[in-house]
Amino acid sequence: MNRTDMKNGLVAVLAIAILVSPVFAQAGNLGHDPMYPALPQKDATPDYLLVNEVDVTVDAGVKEATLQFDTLLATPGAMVYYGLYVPEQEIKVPQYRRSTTEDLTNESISHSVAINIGKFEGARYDICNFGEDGGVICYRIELYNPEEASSVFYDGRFRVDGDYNLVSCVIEGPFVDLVTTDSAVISWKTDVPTTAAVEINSGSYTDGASGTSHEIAITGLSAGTEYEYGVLVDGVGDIKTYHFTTEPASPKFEFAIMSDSRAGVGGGERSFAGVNYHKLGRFTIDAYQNGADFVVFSGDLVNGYTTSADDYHMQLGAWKDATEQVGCYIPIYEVMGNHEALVDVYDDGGYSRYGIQFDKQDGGTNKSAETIFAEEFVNPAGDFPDPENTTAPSYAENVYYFDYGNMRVIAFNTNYWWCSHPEDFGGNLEGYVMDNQLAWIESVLSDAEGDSTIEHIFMFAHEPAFPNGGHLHDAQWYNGGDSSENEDYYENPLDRTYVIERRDALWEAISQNGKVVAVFFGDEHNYNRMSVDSETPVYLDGSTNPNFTSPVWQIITGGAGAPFYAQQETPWSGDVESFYPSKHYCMISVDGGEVSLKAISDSGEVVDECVLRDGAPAGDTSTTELSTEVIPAISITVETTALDFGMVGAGLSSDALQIRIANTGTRDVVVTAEIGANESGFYEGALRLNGGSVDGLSVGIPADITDFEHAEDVAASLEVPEWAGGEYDGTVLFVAEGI
Amino acid sequence: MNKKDFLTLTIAFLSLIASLQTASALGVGASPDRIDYGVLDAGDGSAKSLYVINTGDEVERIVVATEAFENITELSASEFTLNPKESRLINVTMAIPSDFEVGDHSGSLLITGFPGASTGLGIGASVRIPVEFSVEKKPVPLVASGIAIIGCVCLMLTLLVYVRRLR
Repeated sequence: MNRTDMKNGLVAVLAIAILVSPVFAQAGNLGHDPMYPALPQKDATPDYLLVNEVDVTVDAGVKEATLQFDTLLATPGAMVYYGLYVPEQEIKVPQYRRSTTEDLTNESISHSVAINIGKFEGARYDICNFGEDGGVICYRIELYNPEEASSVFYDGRFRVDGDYNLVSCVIEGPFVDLVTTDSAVISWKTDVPTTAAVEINSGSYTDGASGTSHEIAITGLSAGTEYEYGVLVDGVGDIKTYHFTTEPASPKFEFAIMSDSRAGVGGGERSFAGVNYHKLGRFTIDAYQNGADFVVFSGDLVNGYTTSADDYHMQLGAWKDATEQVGCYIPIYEVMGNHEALVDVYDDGGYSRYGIQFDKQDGGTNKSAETIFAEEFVNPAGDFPDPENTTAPSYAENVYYFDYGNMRVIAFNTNYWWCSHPEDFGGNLEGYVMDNQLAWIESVLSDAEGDSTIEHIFMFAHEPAFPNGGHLHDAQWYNGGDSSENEDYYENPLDRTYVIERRDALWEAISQNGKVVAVFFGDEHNYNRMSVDSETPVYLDGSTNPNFTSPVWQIITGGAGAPFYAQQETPWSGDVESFYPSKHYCMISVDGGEVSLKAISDSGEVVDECVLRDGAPAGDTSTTELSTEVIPAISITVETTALDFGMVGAGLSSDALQIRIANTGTRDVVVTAEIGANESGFYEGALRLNGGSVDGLSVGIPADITDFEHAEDVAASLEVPEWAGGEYDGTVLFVAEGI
Repeated sequence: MNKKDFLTLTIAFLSLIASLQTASALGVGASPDRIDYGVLDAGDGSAKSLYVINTGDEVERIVVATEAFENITELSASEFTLNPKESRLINVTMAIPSDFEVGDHSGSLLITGFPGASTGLGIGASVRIPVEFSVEKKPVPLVASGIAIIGCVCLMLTLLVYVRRLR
C-alpha cells in the first residue's frame, strides 16, 4: 500500500466520524469528544527498560540481599552499585561504596543480583552505626540497553534492622508542600503498606490508615518559623530528621523557577529514566543553598509521551528521586508540560510521524496524564476550572493558585487533554488554553486585582505566548497561525489564527490586570526575557496589540536539562532584552514592592540580572497621580469615518453630505484633499467637495487655542458618470498642513 | 397610530440610527509640526523624534509615509495602531550619502490615521510635516590635508632635483 492508498483508506475510515460531527471554522473538532480512529493501537515506551518494581529479599544468615527484576528487552548482566547514607548530612546524597556484577552468561529479561550488605558492618565502611542498628541501603542498577547501545540507571533503597530483617522503608521523599503561615503538608511513599505519622516539635500527626502513599497535613503553626520534623513508618523513624520554614509574615522572600528537566544529551545521569538527573539535582540543590523558599517547575519534568502508566509513574518517580534532596525542606510546585503525556497511540502505518495520539481517558483502570500527575504531586487543590467536556480530564492539581506573602502565584496548563490532531479528531491542541480555563484565569486575576494584600502576581505555564527559539511552530504561536505553515492530519493547509486569537485573549487579561509582574514559561530550552506591551510587534505583519495595556515580562526559562535551542527570528525579536541559549535556572527576590531576578547557569555564572518591578506596586493609590493632556502642534479631527451616498443613478448626482473638520492642534492649518484608494478610478472624477474637484479643495481652519474646537464644514457629493455601475470602495484623505 | 405618524416615527428612528453611526471621529496629530535637521555633512546622518497622536475617539491604524527622499529616510515605525488619545514617539533618521547634492532640500512626511473598519467611501485624516535640511560638502580632515600638502612639496622637490640633473 503506498502513501496515497493509505491516505485514501484513512479518509474512508474516518469520514463517517467527521461527517457526523459538527464542524467549526478553523478549530474544527477541537474541544469535542475524542474520535478514536478504527486503527490498531500500539505501544510506545522509549524510556522503559526495567519493568515493575525491584523485588528485594534479604538472607540474614549470610547478610546478603538479592535484587530481582525484569527488563522489557533481553539485556546483558546488570551492574549494581550500593552503599549507605550519612545521617548528619543535610542533603541526603546516596554514598555508593561497593558494586556487584550480575552473573549472567546470555542476555535475559529476568535478572537477579546478590549484594553483600554485611560488608557495611566492617570498621572501614560503617558510617551510620550499621553494625548495631542496621540502616537504609541505597542501590543503583545499571543496565545496558543493546538496542540503544547505552546504559540506563534505576535507583532504589531498602532498609534492614540490626538483625538483617527487612523492615519498611521510606523509598520516596519525604516532601514538604503547601506551606502557609500556619500549615504544611508532608508526603512520602513506603515500599510496603505501613501506618504513618509526622512528629514535629512536640506534636504528632497521623493519617490513621495503612498504605504506601502518605500525605499528612500539619496545622497550628506560626508564621516565619522553622520547624524540625521526622516521619515515622510503623512507628519507626526515618534515618534522619528534616525541617521547613513557614511562610513569612513580612513580604520578603525568594523563590526559584525552572523548567524542562527531561532527558538531555550526554548519557549517564543526563538521561536517567526520562530525566536529566544530573542537571535537575544540581539546580535544585543550588537554588536551596541560594536561599529559595520554594521552587516552581514549569513543565516537561520528564520525557513522557508513553503509552504505559507504569512507565509514566516510573519517570515521575525518577524526577522525584532527583528533587527529594531539597523537596524535604522547601515546597516544589509542579506544572504540566507537553512531555507529561500519557497517551493512546493509533498506528496509521507511518502516515503521520508518531501515529494519532490521544491523552488517555479516565475510566476503569485507565487514568489520564492529568489524573496521575495529581496523584504523584501535592499541589493546591482547592480551586480549579471545570473540565472542558464530560470526557475531558480534571484540572485538579494541574491548574491552581496560591498566595504567598504579598504575591499570588497562578499555575495554568497549556497542555491539557492533548491530541496530536485535535482539529480532526477532537481533544485539545498543544499550547491552547480552552474556554473554562481562560475564564478561571480571568476570575483569579480579577480576584487578586481587588485584593489589597496582593501586590504582585506571577504566572506559570509551559508553552510560551511569544516563543523565541525552538518552538515557533507550536506553543501559542504556530508560525502566526499561517495556513501555509500549518496542516491538518490529511496534509491540507490549516488556518490556526484561532490560536493567536486565544493567545491575545489570555495576554489581554494578563496585561490589563496591572499587578502581573511576569509570566514564566518553559518549552524552549534556553533563557529569554522580554517586556510585552502595546508597542510590541506580536503579529506576522509586525503590528501591535493596543489592548496589551500594561507591560508584563515574559520570561522563558526552559534550561533545567533538556537539549538547548538557539534564538530564532520572530516579529518581537527586537524586544528580547536578554537571551542565553543553555542550561540555567532563575531566582526571584521579592522585597515589598521590589522584585528582582537572576538567571544562573549550570556553571554558577549569573547570565542575566535585572529589576522586574521597582518600588511601589501597580495600583498603589497612596501616591498623588500627575497627569496632563498636551495638545499636538498640528492636528485635525474629521467627525465621521466614512461616507455612504446610498444608491445613486448613473448620470445623476447624490445629495450633499456634510463633513465637519476641526482643527485640534495649536497651529493654523490649511486642509486639502486627496484620493487615496480608488477602485476603477471612480471617485477621481465623481467625488465633489464643496462643489468642486477633490484636488481643488483648500479650506483654511485657524487654531482655537482656547478650546481647540474651531471647525469648518465641507460638502461632499457624487456626480456619477454615465459609464458607472455597481459598488465602489475608496478612500479620501483630508490633509492638514501648517500655515 | 395612523400611517403618517408611523412613517414619521420610522424616519425619526432611522435618522437617530444614522446619526449614531456617524458619531465617531477620526483624528491625527503630530508634534513638532515641522522637522529641520539644519546643516548636515555629506556622508553623515541625523535623527529627530516625532510624536504621533490619535486625536480621534476610536482605535486607528496609523501610516507614516515619506513623500520625498525615501532612500535616505529611515522611520523607526511606519505602521502601527493607536488607541484614542494615545501617542507614540517615532524616530526619523536622515542618512546623507557622501555624493548627495550640496544645497538646501525640503520634503515632507504624511501621517494618516485610518479607522479600524469602514464601508463605502472611507476617510483618512492626515497631517503633513515639512522636512528640511541643508547639505554641505564634508570638509577634508586636517591630517589628510597635511599629508596631501607634504606629498605635493615632496613631488615638487623631486621634480626640481630631476630638472637640475638634466641640465
